[in-house]
Amino acid sequence: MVVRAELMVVLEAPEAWLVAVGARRDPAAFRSLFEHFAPRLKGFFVRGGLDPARADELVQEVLVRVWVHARSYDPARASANTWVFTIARNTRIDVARRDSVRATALPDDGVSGGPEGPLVALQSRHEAAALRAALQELPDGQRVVLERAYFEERSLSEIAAQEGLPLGTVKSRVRLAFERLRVALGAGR
Amino acid sequence: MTHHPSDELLVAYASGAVPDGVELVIACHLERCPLCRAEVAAAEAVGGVMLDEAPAVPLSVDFDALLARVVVAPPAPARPPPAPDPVFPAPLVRRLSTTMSAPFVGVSGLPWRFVVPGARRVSLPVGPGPRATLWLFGGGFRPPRHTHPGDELTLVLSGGYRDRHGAFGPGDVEERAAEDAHEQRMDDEGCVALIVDEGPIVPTTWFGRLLARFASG
Repeated sequence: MVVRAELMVVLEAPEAWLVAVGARRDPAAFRSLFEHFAPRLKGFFVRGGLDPARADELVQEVLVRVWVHARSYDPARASANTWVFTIARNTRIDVARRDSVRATALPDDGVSGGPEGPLVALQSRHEAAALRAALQELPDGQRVVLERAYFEERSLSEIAAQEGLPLGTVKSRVRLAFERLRVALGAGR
Repeated sequence: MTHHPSDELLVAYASGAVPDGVELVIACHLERCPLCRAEVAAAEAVGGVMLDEAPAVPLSVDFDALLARVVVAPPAPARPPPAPDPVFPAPLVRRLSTTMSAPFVGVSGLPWRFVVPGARRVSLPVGPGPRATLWLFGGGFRPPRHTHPGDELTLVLSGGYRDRHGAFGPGDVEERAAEDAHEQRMDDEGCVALIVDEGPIVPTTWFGRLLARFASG
């Protein structure tokens, strides 16, 4: 049966590793998460302009938080990629603001909402695949603006200054890119 | 709710590019707005794909060293959401509970400071970036005409106001550019708002200059 085959895929996916770490503190699942995410996280941070040693520290900090907060991961609400991304984002912000107060965006605040149901982990994987395809098809100008926003956490006015573009152009590229991505997400549902 | 943060602001929030005060405003709006939550969820999913597609760079730390570090770390305790407050969304309650010296008991328990008749304020400690202030305005209050040295972001918490951009009620967010001199009239029931701005307001009338002397202290 098709559903059964798809479920097998889900069980081997990062979503299942996160659930196993959350439920049982499973070291083997954590190793799988480490092998999958650590090099990507490092690449993500290095692309964002961190030097490799600093990126190493940050990656470890992210993975510690993944371990500690895995219990609050809900595969019905986000794919593993998305959840780890939000942890990485919050970790980078927290490290940058270490000396200042901050109590808003811990990962279990879970800003991302989503539908509920038994096969939603599968669904979020389909969405991720649809999104990836849509991102690849974006015109270069739109993709570059999004990459700068995400990898480098640049505000749109900083991107405009860097790229020598009017702010209005950068804003409309983000808007256009998101319209396309929204269509892709709709199609993945 | 009719006034939402712009797409640009939501994307900046999801990618981690907004300063603390702005983050607080958006987090509070999201709690009350399923539409923007879906928007942010989509923007975070884009981040997830970006992470997945990032070039793989090997770590100089091995797994066993990391495992030794985490096994001693207890799982994070489940954090129950704070008791619902009729005025303040949970992210703000959490912030008020952790940064104010007195325990949080709601809008009447805050250390409001008199500014002018009809306007009181409390400064909210936030990280680097624009400052955040809670305002309590009386019914019918009209702040003096003024401009701002930088952009200003307003989140209505209760009551509301009206300006030339429309009527704003609980949960609504208004983004205003620096050069936009504006006039508001608070609703008859008054208004509680969280305002994030770049610095002291620049009043354009003598009454406003008086207000500014009190408001920046």
